[in-house]
Amino acid sequence: MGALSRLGLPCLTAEAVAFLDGHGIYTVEDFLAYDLYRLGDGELQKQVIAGLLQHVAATTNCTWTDGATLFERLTTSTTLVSTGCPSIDDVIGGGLRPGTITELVGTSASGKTQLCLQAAAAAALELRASVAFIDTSNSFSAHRLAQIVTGLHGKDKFVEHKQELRNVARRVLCFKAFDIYTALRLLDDLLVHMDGAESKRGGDGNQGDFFQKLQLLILDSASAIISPVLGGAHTQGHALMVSLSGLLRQIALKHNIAVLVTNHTVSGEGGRPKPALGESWKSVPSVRLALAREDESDCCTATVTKHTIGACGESVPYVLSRDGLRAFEAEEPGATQQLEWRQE
Amino acid sequence: MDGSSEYPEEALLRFLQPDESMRDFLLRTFVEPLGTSVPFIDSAAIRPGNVVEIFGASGSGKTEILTQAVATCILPSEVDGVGYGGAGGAALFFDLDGRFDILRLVRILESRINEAQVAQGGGDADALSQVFTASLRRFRLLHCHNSFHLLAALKMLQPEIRQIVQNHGPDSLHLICIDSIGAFHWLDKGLHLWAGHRDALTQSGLSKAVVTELKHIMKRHRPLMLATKSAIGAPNRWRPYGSGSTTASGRSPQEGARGSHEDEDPELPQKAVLYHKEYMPAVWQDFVTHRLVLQGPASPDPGGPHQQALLGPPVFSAQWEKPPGSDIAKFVILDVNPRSLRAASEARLPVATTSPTLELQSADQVSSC
Repeated sequence: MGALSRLGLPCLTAEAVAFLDGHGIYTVEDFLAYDLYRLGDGELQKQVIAGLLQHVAATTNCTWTDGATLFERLTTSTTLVSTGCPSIDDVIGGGLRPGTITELVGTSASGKTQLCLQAAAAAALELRASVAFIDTSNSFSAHRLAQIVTGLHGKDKFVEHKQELRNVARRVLCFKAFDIYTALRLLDDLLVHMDGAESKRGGDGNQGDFFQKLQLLILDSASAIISPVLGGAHTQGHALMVSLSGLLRQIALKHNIAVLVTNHTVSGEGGRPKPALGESWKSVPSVRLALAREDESDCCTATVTKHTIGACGESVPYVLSRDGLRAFEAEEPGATQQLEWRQE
Repeated sequence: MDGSSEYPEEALLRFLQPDESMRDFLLRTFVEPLGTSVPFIDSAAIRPGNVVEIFGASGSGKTEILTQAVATCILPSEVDGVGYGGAGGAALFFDLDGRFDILRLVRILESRINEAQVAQGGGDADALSQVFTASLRRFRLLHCHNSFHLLAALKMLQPEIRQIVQNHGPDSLHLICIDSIGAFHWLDKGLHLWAGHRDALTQSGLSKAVVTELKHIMKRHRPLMLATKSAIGAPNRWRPYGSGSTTASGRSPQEGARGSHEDEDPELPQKAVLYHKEYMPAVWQDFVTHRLVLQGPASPDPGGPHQQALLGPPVFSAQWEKPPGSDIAKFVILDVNPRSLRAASEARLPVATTSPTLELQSADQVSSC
């Protein structure tokens, strides 16, 4: 928010600035909040309004898109981003959709981070896309990512595998953000970089390439940075939360990127787990997938609890194995191997 | 009164002259109610120029109702002797939540077009896709990321409307949707901290500016406005009237044994009034002419999803709050399987097996005492 006179617009002559001052319009925001019909319709007014509107049009995106174009975009340029687990892809409608936010809710050790890593691995390996992983709780593990890539890639092709692994590792960038302010700054930077990458195709080498190919943004976990600022002494907690979700959405929509966030659970009424980010966060994700571990067993279930276009309530069992999340089969052949991994 | 102060009697007489006859007045002001194809909205005879607010928690079907209304608005009323039940108008959609899904609209259009065609004994695929594309062209969407973005969009709406009029004829703007009006509530609430405590740049100031801009548009073009408002703050603990029994009877025995019926509130309010909590500034409240309150089904238990198949489609409730209505309409949202997402985006007009529609549950009008 800067003074109008500093914009250097040709329409803002000394006379015009004085006129606007008289109406209490000092900044662009003041101008936007002012009822222009009250300014009158003299020659000066017309020039000032036209000039300022032109400035606003150039700085904010107010272009309407018609339905036919939206549909065409959907049919031609939508690549669903797989989570790396076909049965989970199936329940959420084929995979993570670009332009939308998908949320994973679950108790600890229900496989939230595992699924995030797996989605990152799958996107980097199969789509050759770049992945931005924002780690807020130090849960990112390159070692684990490598294990999952190995699982996805197949161990038989070990020779090419080393090279492939290196490529995948290069495509997944992990950012650490341990509080919401850092995360906001990070997302802001990300948006700026992506705008830059869009405008000058193949710009500054490696980095430009990364942002151009970005298809998946992971925030693990969103609740770890949002919950501390909600309630109590933080009066601005909700504003921070809305800013964060707004930025995620902006990145998703503007650059057609699939966003995956996680939300841990706290104990709710009657000791049953409920999502840490409750009612006000509920409207943020388009798809919400609840992960739950059956008591004391290795079998977990993933349930769609919210879907903007599909049905809710469908669930699928899965197990956590060394190679990542796998569909649960009654006679799991890798059961012993899985135990080994847990003992490691 | 003009400035002819020399003959005050004449001026007075002129002032007392009738402006228009009753017939002219009626012709000017009486407008047919606008159909949205959502049964409980149409029963309230909503007319162009009305501002309908749809309140509800997340997942109570607000966006779905908007999408249904948009579909009715943009479908043609009749093409080549086939009636599509639409209004053939243009619709503008302000998406402040970023959650509008074109796929959902496409599916509703497809299924309605298919239904109309089947009722007429089939038509050729070419005509189908023509109706489909022409309808989609009458729909326009804009994402806004903050209140200033919304204000900028409203200030620059005239050229857009001019284009609509040019393409689709005069008076073709039938519907303006805002989803959802309270999206920037928390952001605007903290605005005064950096805006230097100026009246124009406070939450109520911005709301006033938005309403002023909207009023200009409403006055000039008389569209119907549908705006959603999502519930904020404390979780909504009220259950839809009668849903308690449905849930209880539909539950499997194991489910009951696990003790998940604990949240069954014994003090369910007897007089069924759906929960509504106002948080928008007064200037918006005054702008709203009708308010519909929605309530979604009790959210599925994240721990035990197994009973879903037994319960059938979740039941939503709706009630008019302004003007007050005592009837609670129950409806279900019929879905297409999410697995067909890939198929639906590839094929243009797949035969919809289950039509995504909003259906009023028959014989389920629950009236309170």
